[in-house]
Amino acid sequence: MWSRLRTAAFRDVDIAPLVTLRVLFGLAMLLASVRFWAKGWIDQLYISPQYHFTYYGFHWVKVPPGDALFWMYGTMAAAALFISIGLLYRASALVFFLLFTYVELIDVTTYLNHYYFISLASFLMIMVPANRALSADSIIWPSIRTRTVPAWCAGIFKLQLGIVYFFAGLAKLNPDWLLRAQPLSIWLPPRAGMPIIGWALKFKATAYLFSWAGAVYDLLVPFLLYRKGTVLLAYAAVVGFHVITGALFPIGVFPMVMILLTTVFFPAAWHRGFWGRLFPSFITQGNDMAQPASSSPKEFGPSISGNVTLALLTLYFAVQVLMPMRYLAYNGNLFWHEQGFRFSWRVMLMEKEGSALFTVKDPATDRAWEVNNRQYLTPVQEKFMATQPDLILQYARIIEEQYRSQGVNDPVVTADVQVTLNGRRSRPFVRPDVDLTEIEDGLGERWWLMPWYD
Amino acid sequence: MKQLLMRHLFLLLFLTSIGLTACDTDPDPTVQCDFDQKAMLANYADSLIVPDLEQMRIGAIFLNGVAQAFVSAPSPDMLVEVQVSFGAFVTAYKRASVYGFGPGMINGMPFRNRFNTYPTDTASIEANVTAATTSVAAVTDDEVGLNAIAYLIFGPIGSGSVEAAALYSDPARGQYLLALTQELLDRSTEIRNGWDTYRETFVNTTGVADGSPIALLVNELNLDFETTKNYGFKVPLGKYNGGVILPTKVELYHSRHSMMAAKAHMAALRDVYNGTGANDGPGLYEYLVCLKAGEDADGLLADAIDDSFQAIMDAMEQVPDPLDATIVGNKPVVETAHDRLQQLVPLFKSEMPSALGVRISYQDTDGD
Repeated sequence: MWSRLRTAAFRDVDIAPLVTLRVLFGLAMLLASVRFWAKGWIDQLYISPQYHFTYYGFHWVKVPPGDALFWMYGTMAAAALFISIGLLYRASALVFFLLFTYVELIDVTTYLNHYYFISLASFLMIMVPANRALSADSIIWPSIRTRTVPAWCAGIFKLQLGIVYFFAGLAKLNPDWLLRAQPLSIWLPPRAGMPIIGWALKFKATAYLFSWAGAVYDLLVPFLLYRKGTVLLAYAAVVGFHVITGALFPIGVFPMVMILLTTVFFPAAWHRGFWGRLFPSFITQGNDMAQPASSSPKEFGPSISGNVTLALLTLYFAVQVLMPMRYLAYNGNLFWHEQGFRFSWRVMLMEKEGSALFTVKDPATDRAWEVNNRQYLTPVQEKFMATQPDLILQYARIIEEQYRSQGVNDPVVTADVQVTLNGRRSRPFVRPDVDLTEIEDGLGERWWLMPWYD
Repeated sequence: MKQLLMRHLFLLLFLTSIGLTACDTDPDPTVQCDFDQKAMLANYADSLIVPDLEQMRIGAIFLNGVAQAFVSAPSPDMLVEVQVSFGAFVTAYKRASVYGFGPGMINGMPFRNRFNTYPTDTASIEANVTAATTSVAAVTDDEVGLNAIAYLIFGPIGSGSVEAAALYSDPARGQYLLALTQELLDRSTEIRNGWDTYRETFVNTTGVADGSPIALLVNELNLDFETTKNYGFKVPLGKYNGGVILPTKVELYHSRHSMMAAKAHMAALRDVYNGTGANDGPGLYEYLVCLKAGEDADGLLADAIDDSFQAIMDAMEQVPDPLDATIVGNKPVVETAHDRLQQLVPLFKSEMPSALGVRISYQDTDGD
């Protein structure tokens, strides 16, 4: 089993698909960083908030002082450009991955699945020699030029994309999505004024059709992309799906990123032909070279480093598969308690809104304060905090610190949080009698939430 | 893993067959909600927004005119006239304060920030008078607008019209008052006239994306509602102050119009919600009814919101002006009004936007 996997992973394949991936990923990230800056989001999402919600284990990540964040975005954009043209490629990929991931870790309320995907994809980019053809590096150092790379280099991107789609599909197999066509029943009708498909959006059946078709699409498309006979059909579906969702919902650059990156599934000959039309010498480039240095099974296959590479990749993908499954360890409604919700490709799955009123009590004096959330949080932070249990706890700690500094030694923080989920009337979310400052956030069951009922 | 995959695929096939059968037994594809967003927006523009802004503009012309007459020949009787036209302007303003988008923005902020920031800074106002300030463009929000005018025309608490009018022996005081009423007039006129061109954009932009008219309206309804809830009630009730009341921080403290303004405001917001203006056309209420929001649960959301407004207004009827005195003397009735205001929040801020597919974030971001 292992040796067969190894043989398959280290088979020589054309480098052309990896070149396409490198160029498109770099350009898309360049556009994404420039767009983020131009929208004023660096300031709005990172610099102006007083407090940030941090990730478990990453509480040390802070907004860098002064203009550093703008420099980071500038560097990120430059690194993206460098990735695209293949200049100092691996270092650029590493810099991009580190900067992008650092910024993403600053504030949980900015979490988006597609940002997580970009972190992962840029991490994988560091691992592959995508600069060994059609790159600035290969002009500066001609000796790195190669026509082939081990099959795993493009394979890991196919697998990663496949995991994204497939788990997004599995996540849709829930009663709200399939039986109530929610949240699409909420999201589609107000958009009935849009061109071409708008007329259909008012029908209940359309929400069901979109829900079911979306689930089938997500579950099947990785397999159809993988098979040579169906790749074109699948790609047409990818383009159609992302164009429609991109037109309907405010999801930024994500549709474009997916449309661009799924070209990695195209046959190598297509990629070589594509680049050959732009750079005719590329068609035959590398034919005259000796066996490329590090890519032959003879040299690499039996070696220790080959086994290590394969073992690390196996570990990486095991984590990728287990992460979205971890919700199975918890009772109750995942959409309610959200334990195991993030990092799981649960995309556009719920319409969840909340309003949260926090109260601080000083047991020593029996005085009570209501908290004006806008005093500490931005509207976007408040919006996400009000529906996400771990953020509610973090916010309770922020409040606790505030009141401690104002002389309340042991503030008791409780919350009246009302949450509406997928069109249901709102209902209490947090147990109103619980002192939220006493609760440690972790991987345990969130007993301090009101139980879900339907 | 493989087994799990098979189980999910099997489940999918199974559910597909159920879904198809269900469609078979239901001959006509049910329309979830066929709602004419343009008709609703046109109703808002033509029977609410433009008439309300026009009334505010007329109120400002009147207030400014009467104030000019008073300043040119100060007398207690004329000051009372100013106070009456001020009350009329407050009522007109409360019908319009929610339209703080599009032309209703001043320097990127809803115009209510400029018109109605309180408590007003009386010390700075007196300093401005002493400095003979006549241009208020650079003066901060808490030294201009309704609350500053209330202070100037009703005088320090305890003064009658005679004492208040006597202060106008200093012509600089009259000049500052006129600078404030003139600013209200200029801004009210700009906002009203801005709608002559903005109306087209407003009624023809459908959808609920960030920045769309429906999203703006829903967001502003919430922001405007929150000003009365938070600053009109929570602050003076001491909710942010460890329960220690701060009665002097009520809205329109010096003119003693707090409850009149709050009641007018709730009636106005309810009318906006219902789309009831010059005509009773389609509004957010009708939209929520069409969407059947909350229907399969505990009753229609549309009615729950209207009932909640009624409950607020009923409770406010029990709270007499001056509000600061009632907070001191009969706090429970104010607490009841506050609690009713709070009870609308989940419906108004979470459920309504959620049902409409509108994001309450007051800013544009990506989702996923």
